[in-house]
Amino acid sequence: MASEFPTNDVKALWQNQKPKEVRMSVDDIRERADRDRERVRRRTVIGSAASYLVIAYFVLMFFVVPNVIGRIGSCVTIVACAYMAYQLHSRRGEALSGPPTGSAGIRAYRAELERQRDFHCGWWLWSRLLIFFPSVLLFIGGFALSYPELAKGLGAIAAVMVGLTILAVPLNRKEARRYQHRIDELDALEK
Amino acid sequence: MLGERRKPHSLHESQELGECLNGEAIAIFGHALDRLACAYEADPDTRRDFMQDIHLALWRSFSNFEGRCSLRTWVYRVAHNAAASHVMRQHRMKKRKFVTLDELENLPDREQETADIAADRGKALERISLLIQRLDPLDRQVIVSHLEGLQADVISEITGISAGNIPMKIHRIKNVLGRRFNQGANHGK
Repeated sequence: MASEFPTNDVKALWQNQKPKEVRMSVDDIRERADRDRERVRRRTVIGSAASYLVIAYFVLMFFVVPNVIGRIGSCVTIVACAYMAYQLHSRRGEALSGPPTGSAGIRAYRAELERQRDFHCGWWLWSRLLIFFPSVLLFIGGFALSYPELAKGLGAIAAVMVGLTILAVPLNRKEARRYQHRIDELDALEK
Repeated sequence: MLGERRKPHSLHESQELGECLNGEAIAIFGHALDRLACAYEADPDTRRDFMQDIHLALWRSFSNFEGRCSLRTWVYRVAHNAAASHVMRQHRMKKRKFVTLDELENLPDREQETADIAADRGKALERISLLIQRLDPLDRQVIVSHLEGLQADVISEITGISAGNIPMKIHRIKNVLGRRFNQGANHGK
C-alpha cells in the first residue's frame, strides 16, 4: 500500500471542508483591540503589584529580623525578587503577529524559541539561581539565629529550598535542550 | 488590484486603506483562514477566539502593507504568524506538546484517532486535522499551505524556508502523515 498521502483527494477534501465561519466587523475588531490593550495594562499592574508586595514583605522583615545576617538576607532577597520580575518581563513571549517582512514567520518563531531557551540556560538561569538561593538561605539563617526555637522548621524550609534549587538545574537544562533542538531544525531549513 | 499600492499620506488615510484591504482579504481568503484555524486548534471555542486573533492581527498588519508582496502572501504570513503565536501560547499555558515528524511516526495512536476511523469524508477530514494539529508549527505551515494549493515559491515566501527545501519537506510530511493516516484507517476497519 502506498504510504504517501493521496494528495489530490486530500487537497480536494481539505479545500472543500466547510468550517464554521467566524467573521468580525471593523467595530468588533476595534473593540477587541481595546480589550487586549486593557488586558495587558491590567496584567502589568497586577504583576507589578505582586512584586511590590513581596518586596514590601521583605522590607518589613528587614526591620523584624534583629540581626545583620537576616537583614542582609532581606536586602538581597528584595534585589532577587526585583531581578526575577525583570527576567520574567523581558523573557515573556511576544506576539508573533506583528508586521511581517521577508522570512518573518520563521524568524519570529526562531526568536520566540531563543527567548524560551535562554530563559532556561546560561546566564539567565544561573544568575537567577545564584542570587535567589543564597539570599533566601541568608534570610532563613538570620531568622534562625534570632529565633532558635524555630530552627527545626526553618531548617526544613532551607532543605526544601536546597532540593528545589538542585532539581531546577537539570529541569531547566532539559527544557533548554528541547528548544535548542527545534532551533537546530529551523537552521537546517532557513535560507 | 492586488499589486502595488499607493502609500497613505495621513493616519486617517492609512486606517481607511487598512480597513479596505482587510475587507478585501477576508472576502477573498476568509474560507482559507477558517481552514487554517482548523489545522491549528481542535477545540471549537478556543478556535473561535483564535480566529478573532487572526482577524485582529490582519487588521493591525495592514497599516504596514506596502504592496511589496501579493495580498495572498501577506495574509498567509500574518495568519501563520498569529497561529505560531497561538501554538506557543497554548504550549506554554497547557504544556500542549507538539511533535517532530520523527516523533509523530513513533507515537502511539490517541484514543480518538484510532476509534471509528471510517472511510467517509467527514471522518477522513477529522483524522487529517488531528494529525496536522500534532505537528510542529513550521511543519503545519508547510502542509497547510500545500493543501491550500500554494506553490513552493509562495510557501517559501510565507514560511522563510528555502524554495529548494519545500518539495523535500512536503514529501517527508506527506510520507509520515500518509503512514499514520493508513494505520488509523486500518485500525478502524
